[in-house]
Parts: sequence; structure tokens; C-alpha cells
Amino acid sequence: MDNSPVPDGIKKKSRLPAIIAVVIVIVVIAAGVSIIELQHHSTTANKHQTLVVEVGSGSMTEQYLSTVATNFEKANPNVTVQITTEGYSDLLTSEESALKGASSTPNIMMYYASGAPTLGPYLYNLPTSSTGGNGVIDLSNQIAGNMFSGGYRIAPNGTILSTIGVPIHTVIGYMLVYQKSIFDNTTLQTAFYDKYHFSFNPRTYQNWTALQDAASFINTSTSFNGTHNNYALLFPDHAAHSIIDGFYNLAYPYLSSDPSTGVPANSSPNYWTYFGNKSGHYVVSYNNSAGVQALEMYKNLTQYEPSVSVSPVGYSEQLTYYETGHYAMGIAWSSFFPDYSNSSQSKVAGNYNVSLLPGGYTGYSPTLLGVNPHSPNLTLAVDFLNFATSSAQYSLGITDFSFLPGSANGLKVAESDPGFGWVSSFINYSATIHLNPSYAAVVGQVSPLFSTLIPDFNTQVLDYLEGTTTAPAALNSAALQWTQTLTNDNIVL
Amino acid sequence: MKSPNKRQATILVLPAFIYFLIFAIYPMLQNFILTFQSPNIHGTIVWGLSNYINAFKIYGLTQIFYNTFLYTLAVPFIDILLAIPLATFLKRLNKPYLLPIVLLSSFIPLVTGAVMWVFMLNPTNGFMYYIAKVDLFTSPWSIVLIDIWTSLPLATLILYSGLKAIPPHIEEAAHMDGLIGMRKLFQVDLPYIKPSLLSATVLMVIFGSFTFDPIYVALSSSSPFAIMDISYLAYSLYETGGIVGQGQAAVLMTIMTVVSTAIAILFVRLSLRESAKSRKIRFKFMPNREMPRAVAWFFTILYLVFILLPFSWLVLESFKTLSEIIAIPPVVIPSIVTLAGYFKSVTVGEPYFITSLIVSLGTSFLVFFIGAPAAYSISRHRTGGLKFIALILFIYSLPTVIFMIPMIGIIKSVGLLNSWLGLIISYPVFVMPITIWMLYNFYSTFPKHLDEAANMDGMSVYGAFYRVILRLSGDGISVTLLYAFIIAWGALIFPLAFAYTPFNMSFLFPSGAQTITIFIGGTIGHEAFNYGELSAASVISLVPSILLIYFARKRIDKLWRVGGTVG
Repeated sequence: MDNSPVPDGIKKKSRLPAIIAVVIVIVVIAAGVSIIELQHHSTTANKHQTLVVEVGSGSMTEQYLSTVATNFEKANPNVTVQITTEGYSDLLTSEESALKGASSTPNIMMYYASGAPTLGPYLYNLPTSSTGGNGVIDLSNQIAGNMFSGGYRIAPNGTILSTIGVPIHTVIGYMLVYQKSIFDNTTLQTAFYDKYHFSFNPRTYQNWTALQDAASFINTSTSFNGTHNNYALLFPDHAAHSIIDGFYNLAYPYLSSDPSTGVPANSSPNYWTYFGNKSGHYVVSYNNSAGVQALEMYKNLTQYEPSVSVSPVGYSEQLTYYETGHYAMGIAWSSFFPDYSNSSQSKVAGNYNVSLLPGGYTGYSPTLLGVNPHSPNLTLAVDFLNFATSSAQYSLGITDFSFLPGSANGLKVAESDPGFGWVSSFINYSATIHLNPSYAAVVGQVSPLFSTLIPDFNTQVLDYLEGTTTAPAALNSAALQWTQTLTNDNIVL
Repeated sequence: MKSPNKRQATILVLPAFIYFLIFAIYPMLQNFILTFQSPNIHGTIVWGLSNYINAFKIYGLTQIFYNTFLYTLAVPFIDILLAIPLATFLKRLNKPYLLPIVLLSSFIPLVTGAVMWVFMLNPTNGFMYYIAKVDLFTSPWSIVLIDIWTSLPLATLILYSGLKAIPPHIEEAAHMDGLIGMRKLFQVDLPYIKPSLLSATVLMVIFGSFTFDPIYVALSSSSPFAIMDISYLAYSLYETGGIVGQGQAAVLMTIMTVVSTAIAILFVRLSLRESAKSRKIRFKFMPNREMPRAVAWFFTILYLVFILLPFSWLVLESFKTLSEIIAIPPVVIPSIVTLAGYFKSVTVGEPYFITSLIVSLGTSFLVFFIGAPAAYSISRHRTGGLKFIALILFIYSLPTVIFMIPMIGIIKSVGLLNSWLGLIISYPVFVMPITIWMLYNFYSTFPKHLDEAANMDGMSVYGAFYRVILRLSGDGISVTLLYAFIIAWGALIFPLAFAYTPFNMSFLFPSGAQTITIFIGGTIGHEAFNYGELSAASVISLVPSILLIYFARKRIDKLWRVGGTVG
């Protein structure tokens, strides 16, 4: 065995290439990994993303979001926002099918408050915070009335299960609209006061009887008396849908002032008004003397327009008839006002004013945006919601389209716009109401509301308006049908 | 053992047979099974009769049944009552250019026709204002009116085709017997065209009893149950009623299947009847003189006004500004003509138009590849005998809505929901029966010596069909395919059920398959008041129908000859 020591130089000479080779290999691998990583990073950073936003065809939200989309693309050059439209009658079913079918598009979906119970279980639970921030929805910027009307998914016991949407467009309704040229007429003001001993100004009406008095006065004292297509009051009474909306708006003060109905006071009218809390359970609220009084008033108020059997007033009539200038007053959704103000088509442009309903209240019916949980770019979708509900974008919407914002900050911006002077009364009203989550959750549990209950109710009320039944019989019959349907469908509220 | 020819003839029919097994027979059975499934209080699906019990507790069902019966009885009765004189006038006037105009309303999408009437009958903004300020959509007779407007031309065409096919020797014999005018009509013509008359009646019964599109469009202008029928209720329950609604919808669909089976049996018997035997009834009380041409012209013009007025109103609406569209009283002739509605409808409606075009073309080709060989084989080689053609006519007589729920399952299982392909493979269930029937009639009159010549040249059944017959079938095939295209173009229920987004405008990675009928029909309501855009889109949707009528104006009456009057 040779134990002679190996010279140092030789030793070093033999290890060095190996070490160098190992180092080179490590460096090459590290460099390769880094390059690949870097490339991957840069690819991800530059990856073009598309957001598909589905909106109702012809809606104001479509108009507003089209501009927002352009601005969002400018702010995010790697993003394309594609706005797709859907007719109203198919919007909900189309979105429900997409969500149930786990389709990745549309990424963002517009829906109405009435669609929240249908879509709620499938929509993305939006990340929220009470202070705002990137990638989360700022709840402090939301109006409670709007959120309880479709923004939250609420368990029957009142627990908020998820935040399913952000109000993009505040739609208030109903509101009272009236022609300034009639109500600013001092002769008429004096004559009215002399007769009824309260102001002719609709913003001061304390109840629906006052409105009826005003309609009656206009009918007898002006040319808005049923001749030449001119009428005193445009009141919704179309059985296709409008009766259900008209009645809950009108009936709310009647039902909430009678404790036996179980309808809470200091709330706001909505579909939930049709249910009252009786010993911890919710039951039909309208088949009682308060409901009958409300229904009789409903019929009285429809006497100042063409008969329901001749020309029923639905959503489209509320919008288009009032624009013709043939009606002194009208009941309207706030989403109609931009059309009323459009001088190229409206004869009341510049000549109408807006008030809360008699007694100083109204309801919330926001248009909302929800996110598809199967969307590959959830963060981007949430970013888009925040961008679309930012005060900066709403400012543009208010100026360009008379778009009423969905957020609290947005409404404050609107309040300062001369065209939205009436918004302050709504903001003040919003501060006074209190909404009980478990009460708001009732509507979500009544799955046959749109398929069965509303048609039942509207048909009964139509019979009453047409004089083929009495008010108590119509309401009792509708209540009986509702109770039977809920029992048949195993629904316990 | 089957001969090679027989085997080949069977193979020609096989694709159509398999298609109908999967897409027609299976859905009917599946509907029946669904009727027994419903969720209990915990949401678990249980078997039982609760769907049957609850379906009959639906509020408004009495009115819905009444409406269904009204549509089923009034539409065919009035149709036939008007079609007989009209067909007679057309034959008497013998002006070839009249027929295409008369036929117009039967060949346009039902949705478009309904939109026209909704515009027309609006008591404040529509033509109705000048007749009576009454909202007709509170009554089911408004739907009867639309149904008649839509179906009367088809009934007239069938009777007109029958009258035109009366052999000259019979006409001569009648004249020699001194029979003319009304007496000849009742004593000779009507008995001779009895199969056509009965087939037209049954077709109109089918049409009336399963009315859907006009209700879909007009419901936003109507009270909840005022115009609804069972077809629409079934669809509505399916769409909005969740699992409970689906079970009850299946019950209604099963009822419809039973009713339509009864109608179908009648239809099949009448359609396949070989010859007509005239009964010896004397109509001596009828005037035995030719009607003055002026009277025939008067009534024909009256009819043309009825047919063309809604078209005219729609076209005028499409050129009006919004302020003129909503004006009270309505503006008839626009003071300012605007094309804004057309520009907007082309821009916004582009994905819907593209989908309709591609799906209608795809369906027509699929129907051609499956249906034409089957029709040839059944007609020429009697494949499947009368049983197969009876099956075809049976499926034709079924309402489309009954296939909807099970077919969603099929389309979904192959991942084709909301896609062009999903619609293309499902449409033939309602397009193919009528096209096979038309081609069956066409091939029944096709010269047999051509097949014989092909056989003598040593060609198989395939060879004879694909190399000889098909090449000479241009007339029949082109008109039939165009007709198939029109049916697919106007389809509403299937796209409503199977598609939920518009085409994404990406031809490389297409998704979304909502059609122009959804664009038009779904636009009326809540927040959409683009009436100019809607009327313009409706006008554009008429283009294929007008093309069909133009190209087929000389042949279409021959294809509609039925039963004993064929050839």
C-alpha cells in the first residue's frame, strides 16, 4: 500500500474542476430557474384578462357601466371589460343557469333586488371590511336599505350568511312626481288651501288621503280632468306585475300603524310588507281591516286615470305616459327621472318635481352587481366593483347620465348636483329607518313569490279594481291562496 | 332475410329513427318519471303523487284550462271558416303574385308576429287607439286573434293546394253537370279536398292548443292568467318554480302528451288516408252561379289589409323617434325618419343574429343529412311502412315544450348547454318531422323511372339516392331546407331553456347561444324601452321569411299537398 502523501498542488488540481463544475451547474440551474420564474412572473403580470359583465338590456346600469368599463380599461391596460346584455325577462334565468352550470362567464352579473333570493346561494361571497381597502368591499360606504334589499344573503334567523352583491344603482320607489306648472300656480294653491286647509305642495302631504284630495281637486279645477287624454294622477295598476308593487308602497303606513298586522314601523316598504311577525312566525299581513283600508284607497287613487280594464298602467306606461305631459301627477321609480328630464323625448322635462310618498317614506329597489364564484379572476372582479362604485366614476355617471349612485358616498356626490336636489330627502329618510335582518330574510324563503303568489294577489286585486269582488273578499281570497301554496310547498316562515 | 336493397333502405332511415328515439321518445318517458318525483320538507327527492295533487291546486288553473280550450277550438274553427272562401277566391282570381303576400304571416317568426300585435293593440300608443281605446290583452281573444293571423295563411295554403290539385277531368265533369260557384264548391271541391280540409283542421288544432310565443311576448301587457295556457304555465313553472315547479311542469307536459297523442292519432289517420270519397249530398239551396270577381277582390283585399296592417305598423314604428313612438295620440306617419333603431339593433343584436344564422344553417344541414335519406327511403321503399311515417307525424303534433326538461339533461350531460351545437342537435326534434313529411310528399310524386334507371345501371339504393335522386331533388330539397331554416330561425322555447348568454363574438372560442327571438321577445318588459330598436330588429328578423317566400313562390303549394290529394 502506498502511504506517501499526495502533493497539495495535485490534490487541489484534482478537486477544483469538480467544484467549479458544481458551482457552474448550480449557477446555471439557479439562473435557469430564475429566468423561468422571471418569465413566468412577467407572463402573469402581462397576461391579458377579460371581464365579462352581464347587464339588463336597455337598463341605466348598462349605460353607466359601458363608460366605467372604458375607464377601467384605461386604468388597467391588460384588462378588457366586455359588457353583454340580456333582456329583462331572461336576465335572471340566464344568470341562474350560468351559476348553476358552473360556467366561468359572465364574471360579474347585474341583478335586481327581486332576483337576490334566486341567485344568492350561488353568488360569490364578497370580501368585505368596515373600513375599505384594496380587494375588499367597503361596507361603511353602503346604504343599509339597499344591502338588505338584495346585497346580503340572510338566514331565516337574521344571520347574514354572505355579501352577495354591491348596489350599483340606487332605485328608489315609489316616488311622487308632479308638474311644477300646476303646483306652483298660486291661484290653484290658494283655491286648494281654501278648500282643504293644507298646503297644495306634495312634499307636505301627510297621508294618501291628502294625495287623493289633490287629485280630486286637479280633476275638478284644471284641464287634467279626463278629457283630451289629460288626467290628474298616473297610478300603477297593471296586473302583470305593478299591482303588487303599488299596493305594498301604498299599504305600508296602513299596515305598520296597526300592531296586529305584525308589520314593523320605522322600516320601509318592500315585498316583506306582505308578511307580519305573529308570535315568532311570519304570516300573511294584509287580510285585515288595515289592508282593506289600503286597498280601498288604492282603488280611489286609480280613478283619476283611464280605467284598468281599458288601459292598465304598468312599468312601461308609468315611464312613457308621464313623459307625454298628459298627467298632472304620477307614481314613479327614480330610474324614470332621467327619461322624464330628457327634453328630446319628454314634454315634462324641466317642468316636474319629485317628492317622497305621502307621509315621507319610500322603498329601496337597488340594482346590484354580484360576482360569479367560478370566474377565474375574482380579485379583478372585486376591483371592478370598487372602481364602478367609486365617487369619481359616480361623478361622471351623475353628470353624463343622471345616474343615481348605489353607494352612500356616491349619493352625497349626487346631492350636490342641481338635478338631484330631491336626493337629500331620501338620505335623511334613510337615516331614520331600521331594518330587521330576520324580517328582510322572509322574502328569500318564499320561493313561489314570483311564480305563484304575486299572480294570485294581482288577479284578486284586479277583480276588485274592476268591481267584480269586494276589497275584503279579494284580500281574504289572496291570503288563503298564499297560505295554501306555502303549505303545499312545505314552506314554514 | 332482408335483401341488400331493403337493408340499405333501412340504413337510410336509421339515423332519423335513432335521433327520434333519443330526442323525442326518451324525453316523453323521462317526463313521465319526473311527475312522480318531488322534494319533501328536508329537500330530499321522494316518489309519490304530490306533483299531480299540487299541479291541480295551482291558482288560476280554471282560467288557464279555459284559455287552452279556447285556443284549441276557436283557432281552427275560425281558421277553416275563413280559409275556405279565401282559398276559393285565390283560385278564382288566379293571380300568382297574391299567394306569397297572403302567406307572409305564417312564415315569419312567431315572436316577431306577436311583437307586431303588441305594438298594434296598445290602446294608447298603438293603432288600436284609433279603433277603440281598449286593452285587448286583458282577454284571451287577443291571443286567438294573433294565432289566427299567424295560422290562417297556412290553412289557406293547404286548402288552396288541394283545390289546385283537383284533376281537370273532375272540373270538366262538374261544369258539364252545370255546377258552378258555391254549389260546385260544396258539392265537388270540398268533398274532393276533404283530406286537405281535415289535415288543415288538425294542424290548426295543434297550433292553437299549444300556443306559446304570443303569450310569452304579450304577458307583460296582460293580467297574470288572462291569456296563459297550459304550455306557458308548464314553461313558467319550470323556469321559476324550482324542483317543485319542475315536477308540476312535468305533470302538465304529460297531460299535453296524452292530449296531443289523441290529436296525433287523428292527424296521422287523416294525413295517411289514401283517397277521398265524396258523399252524394246535394246542395241545391246554394247559389249555382260564379261569384263576381269584384266580390272576390273585395274580400281578398280585406284579408290582405288584415295580414299587412301589423307589418306596416311595425315598419313605421321602426323609423320613428322615441318621442313619436310614445306620443298620445299615436303618430301614424313619422314626421322625422330615423334609422337609429336599425343601427342600434344591428350593433346590439349582432351576437343574437349571428347565433340565429349559424344555428338555423346548422339545423337545416343536419335535417338535410338525416331527414332527406329517411324521407326518400320511407316514400320510395316503404321502409318502416306507415308506422314510421305515423311516428314522424306523431312527433310533429307534439308541443315543443314537452321535450324541454329532459333534453336539458341530455344537452348538459354532453357539455353543450349555452352553445350553438347544443341548439343544432336539439332543434331537429321539431324541425325534422315536418321536413321529412314535406320531402315524403315530394318523393311520392317523384318519377319512379329514375330509380329504375339507376337500378338498371347497377346502382345500389345508396347510389341511386346519392348519385341520381338527390341531384334531381333540387326543387324539393331547397324549399324544404329553406322552410327548415325558417322554423329554426323562429324557435323560442329551446333557446330560452338551453342558452343563457349571447354569443361572445369570438369565432375561435365561441360561447353563448341566445338567439334573435330571445333578443326580440325578451326585450319587452321592465327596464327596456328601446321600442325603435325592438321594431327595427323585428323588421330585420323578417328577411329570411321574405326570401323563402320569394324563392319558393312557385313551388311551395305543391309541397303542402296532403293525403289523398298528393300528386
